[in-house]
Amino acid sequence: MKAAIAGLGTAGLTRDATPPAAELARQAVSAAAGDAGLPVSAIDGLVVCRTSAAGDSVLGLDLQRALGLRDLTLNRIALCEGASALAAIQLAALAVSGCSARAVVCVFADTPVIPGKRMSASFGRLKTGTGLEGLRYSAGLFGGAAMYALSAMRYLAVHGLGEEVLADVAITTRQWAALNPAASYRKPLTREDYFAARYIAEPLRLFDCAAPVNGAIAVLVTTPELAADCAQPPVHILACAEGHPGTPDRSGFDRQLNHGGAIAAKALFGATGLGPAEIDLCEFYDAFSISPLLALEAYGFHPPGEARQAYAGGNAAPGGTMPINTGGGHLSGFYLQGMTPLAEAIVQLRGAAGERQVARARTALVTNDGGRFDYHLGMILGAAEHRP
Amino acid sequence: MTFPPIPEPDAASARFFAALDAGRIELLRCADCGSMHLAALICDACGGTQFATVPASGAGIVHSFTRLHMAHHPAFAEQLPLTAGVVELAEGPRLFAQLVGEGTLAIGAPVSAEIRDCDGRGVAVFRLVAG
Ligand SMILES: [Zn+2]
Repeated sequence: MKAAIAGLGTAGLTRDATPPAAELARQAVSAAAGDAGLPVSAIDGLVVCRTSAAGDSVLGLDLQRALGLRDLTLNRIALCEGASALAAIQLAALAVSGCSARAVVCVFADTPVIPGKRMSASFGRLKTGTGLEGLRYSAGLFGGAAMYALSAMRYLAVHGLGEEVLADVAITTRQWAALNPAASYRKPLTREDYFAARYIAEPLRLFDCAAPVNGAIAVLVTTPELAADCAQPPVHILACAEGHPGTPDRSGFDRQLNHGGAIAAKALFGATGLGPAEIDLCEFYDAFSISPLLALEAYGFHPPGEARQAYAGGNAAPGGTMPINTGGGHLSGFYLQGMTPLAEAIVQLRGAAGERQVARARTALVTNDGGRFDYHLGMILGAAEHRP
Repeated sequence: MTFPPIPEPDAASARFFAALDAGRIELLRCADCGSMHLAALICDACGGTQFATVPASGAGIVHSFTRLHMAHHPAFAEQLPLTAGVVELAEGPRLFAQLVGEGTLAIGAPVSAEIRDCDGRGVAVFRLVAG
């Protein structure tokens, strides 16, 4: 893979009313080009990703026209549920590696927050569904929290753990958010605050769930050569990989806990020659607090049931030996699906994270989860000196 | 009476939902390898495409569960906190279902199926077996 990230642009990142997703996407793409020091007209590829519930009328291929872009050599919608952002980046990286495009912008935009309305209006929508999977709605299992709760409940039970394991994730992630001006929730979260909050779906409480925002994030992917001449320190894409286990839901298998990261980890570490010990920081998809725990185990940082060790001793926290979700993640930062962990990794590897800058930030693991743990993409990024 | 949303059958689940609407849980046993499925057109264990229909015992265990503290559908508004989860049938396959009854709620707890008639459609709920 010969590709690098040269631009990062955001728009919105607010719980207030915003323009529609397509307009936020246009603003973010423009900001990403500006960040790279390139004119918008230098973009020759677009990869659009959106939440699985949105259609072309929300955000689609005609973003090209809104940006006034002509003669693109790539224009695509990348859909892989919550993993769409890394799926888009992977497509862009392959395109620039294969010389079919030179400057590809990947963008995600979503506007789930309707000021004055509960979030369940956006994320717990009435659905009927089709086939066996649709039985979740007959059972009352609406929204992501209900489904991730099934994984969290089983994780705690199988390993004989208590809810404090989830609390550690939420509290640690908030410590990082306190250092990030763009985070949604920056007030320190005490253990008392955590346990005093209401359950959404047991064992998941309010602070085990993502902080939704209206916003867009765009990332400009280009060749290492062009990236070296851009305005920002390049961030190299060292490897990307997918893992979609299709775990059967019957005895002998564990669909609640089996994580696509185990498949991707083999490919990522195999391609780079790196292992968990050579990763300086992790940016995991953390729409719910259970997710980073399962990702840590899937990627071999800890044996099954031991991921709590990453949090218990403060290793994942600011100043720790293995910083995790250093911008506050989805939990306390902002939920823009797969773009949230990617954007934070870019900022850290540039050395531009200000108060929350990780001292040793040369390599980062970024993960995206979709359909709980059914669909997964992972990526290893390297700082400028890691040019492959 | 407000009924919960009931999925439309797809090709793989047509036999399952037809049986459920008739008040029974039926399983598909792969003719080649014997793997049990609730819905399948192709066996994910062996690639077989021939299945025999066999009745489920209705017995199972709780594979995972949650208690939901917010109702997203009027059918559940009076039942909060709503208990739902994944049930592993004694024959092996699992399905999402509401859990009811006073028995101990825990992973591995025994449950037994009750088919509710919802205006002609069947819904399987699982009752926690007391003791
Ligand atoms: Zn078979």
